[in-house]
Amino acid sequence: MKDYREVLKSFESIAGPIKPHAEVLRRYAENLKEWDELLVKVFYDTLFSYGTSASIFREGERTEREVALKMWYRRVVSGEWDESFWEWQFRKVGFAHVIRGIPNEFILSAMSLLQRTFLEKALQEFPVEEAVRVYTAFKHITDAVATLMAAGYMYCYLEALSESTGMPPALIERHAVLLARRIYEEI
Amino acid sequence: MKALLDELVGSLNEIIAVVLTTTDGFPLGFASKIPIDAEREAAAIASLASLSTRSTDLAGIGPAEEILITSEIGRIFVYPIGELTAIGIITVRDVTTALVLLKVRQLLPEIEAELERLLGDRTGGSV
Repeated sequence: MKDYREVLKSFESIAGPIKPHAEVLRRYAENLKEWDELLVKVFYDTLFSYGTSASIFREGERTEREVALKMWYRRVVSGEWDESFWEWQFRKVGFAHVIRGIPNEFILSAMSLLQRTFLEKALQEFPVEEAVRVYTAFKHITDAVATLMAAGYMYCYLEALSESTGMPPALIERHAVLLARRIYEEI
Repeated sequence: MKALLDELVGSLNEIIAVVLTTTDGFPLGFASKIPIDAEREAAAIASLASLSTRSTDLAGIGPAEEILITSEIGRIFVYPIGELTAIGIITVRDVTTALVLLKVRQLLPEIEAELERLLGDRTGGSV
């Protein structure tokens, strides 16, 4: 399994360093934490209104999920991200989605919804320039989290396949290349 | 390598095709009396070799030496060659299995020598 630090390193090399964004969020953290109710409501109203995503949840589970999302959101906007934070994103938040069978397209779509809702709220609460600065910081960190989750999801499947069949990762990659090439050439 | 694989295919009427692959699924060579997708067949043979190794490991019965798949009209024999390669022999169904192994063993020293030349001295072990 690829280490989350390697994934984060790739993210920072391509998307830019995380630290400056942490400083921005820390400055606004107390304000931003108050948006948790709104964000969580929009998030779960949307997920529960779409049949396929709604079917993932157990009956009566919404309250429990809302508490977890609020906790996650408040930690994200705190700008206090140490090693344990990133490990939590990769191992707990990320793999919780594998355990629940929530695929990457749901994770990335839900993150996009969260980011857009945050932007709308920021534009309501701050002058445009400030709103853009706060939103950019939030987007950067949540993109990093989404990257970790998506990568963790894929590596978990690859590792499971490799572990159960004994196929080395290079062989699995070979199968993927052959399949992708076939699909690519069909168009 | 091609000449050796051609020789193996030609050594028995019942042998239809031979595919030599790395354990990560890259074909090192093939010979066939019928058209085959050697790239995909190589990846499939490598997977069979991996799966058999994992199964025998879990069962605690030592490394896999031979895999035999019998289908409606044919058979596939897979022999891991060391840790880095495997060979797949596709035959008709009505074939004497011992004869296939004999043919492979007869040509194996030459195949291994050729592999050593291709991959370096990392093939280790024999059928």
